[in-house]
Amino acid sequence: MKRARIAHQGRAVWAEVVDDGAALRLPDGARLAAGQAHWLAPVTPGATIFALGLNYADHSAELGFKPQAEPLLFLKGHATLVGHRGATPRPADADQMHPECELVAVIGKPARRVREADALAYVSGYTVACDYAIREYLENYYRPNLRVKNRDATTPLGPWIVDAAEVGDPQALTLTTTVAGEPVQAGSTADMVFPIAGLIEYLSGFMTLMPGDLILTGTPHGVKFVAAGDEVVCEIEKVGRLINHVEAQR
Amino acid sequence: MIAGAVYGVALNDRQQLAALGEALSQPPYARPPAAPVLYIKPRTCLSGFGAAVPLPPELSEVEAAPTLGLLLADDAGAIGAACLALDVCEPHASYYRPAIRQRCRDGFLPLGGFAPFDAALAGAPIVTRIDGALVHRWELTRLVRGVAQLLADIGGFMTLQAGDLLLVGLPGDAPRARAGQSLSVEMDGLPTLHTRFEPEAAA
Repeated sequence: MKRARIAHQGRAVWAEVVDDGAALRLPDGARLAAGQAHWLAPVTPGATIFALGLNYADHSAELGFKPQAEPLLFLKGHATLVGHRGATPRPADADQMHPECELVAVIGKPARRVREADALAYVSGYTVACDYAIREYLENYYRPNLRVKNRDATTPLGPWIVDAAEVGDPQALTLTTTVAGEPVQAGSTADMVFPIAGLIEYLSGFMTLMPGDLILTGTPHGVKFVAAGDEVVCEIEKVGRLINHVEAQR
Repeated sequence: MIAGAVYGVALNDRQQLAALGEALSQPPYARPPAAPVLYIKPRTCLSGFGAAVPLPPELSEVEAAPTLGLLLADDAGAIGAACLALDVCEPHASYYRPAIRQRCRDGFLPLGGFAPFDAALAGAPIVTRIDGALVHRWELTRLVRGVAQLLADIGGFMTLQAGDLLLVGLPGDAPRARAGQSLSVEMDGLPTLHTRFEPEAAA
């Protein structure tokens, strides 16, 4: 099953994606054509949002970093999220703003001190994120700093959450990104430095992961700077195709 | 109440920056921070009112930083309420990478009760006692960016939303606490924060 969060008749509701993605079934059973949907980021209110830096060796090398001994994690708030077909503002001085296609694991039940071998049982579903970075705003304090990674509407998420059972092995999925139609990222989740199960073991080793929490698992190589007006498409096999528009920040 | 994220500000204490001095111009930092150095405490850091802070067996001692929390009333920087907060973390010397493992453990953010915010609050000392003995005292006049400046500078690159909580800064000389100790944080005009540190219950 695929679950989308949409704005409908004045409130946010979860809807089931049906008819091969052509329609959404609303909580009251009514159907809405997918083209009519106002997509919101599919996230549980209050959920903790984890993200990974340098979790693909080829992307680390591209940026000049050595492999990490421990996952490089950071957190995001909810104002940075934006739904499918939403707009992301590009500041006028952000010449080095680039998209990062990432597989997102959604936690399904409380996880504390979970072993890697058991960890995928704690994942209820997957979605897609485009974790934009603006390299001009990087500073070497709690890097990547929030001025880079927690700007409003710079983390498109969606279009929906796919049940984990429909995805199978999360470490065997292709990821691609296009910017204005040009392919700029093409990778495989097989190349993660810390796979999802290992990340859950690491995080649950010092805190409790809760249902709805999201783990954005990092991005492969391919740094392409975007311009206002670009359509950016991040797609992950078996999960979804997330569309975002870059617009000039006012 | 808190409906959104909890944001904190590191390296916002003049005394701490002065003590770090030239180190902030050396690798890995290269230069002193320009923007506020923010971090996020996840919802699992919040515990019930008056609950103990659980200390895992691997931590013999934690840093317990008393500060002021501001609850945002709208998305434009209006403050709806204030509380005392104790930002607990595993001591860490490096500010280069986000201190997730150090700052985000369950129950690592005890809060006091909420009261109306009055700008005059910022002039009162924040006093911390452990087992009744005064161990720390500081004033928010030590902040590099005071409340108004913080809200303006953070608002320059992201929206603090209604229901978010902002911790205004941490004293660089924050006290340490161990299992078995009780701690209180007092500030004129706000309800006193009481907590204690206990060994984490076995899973």
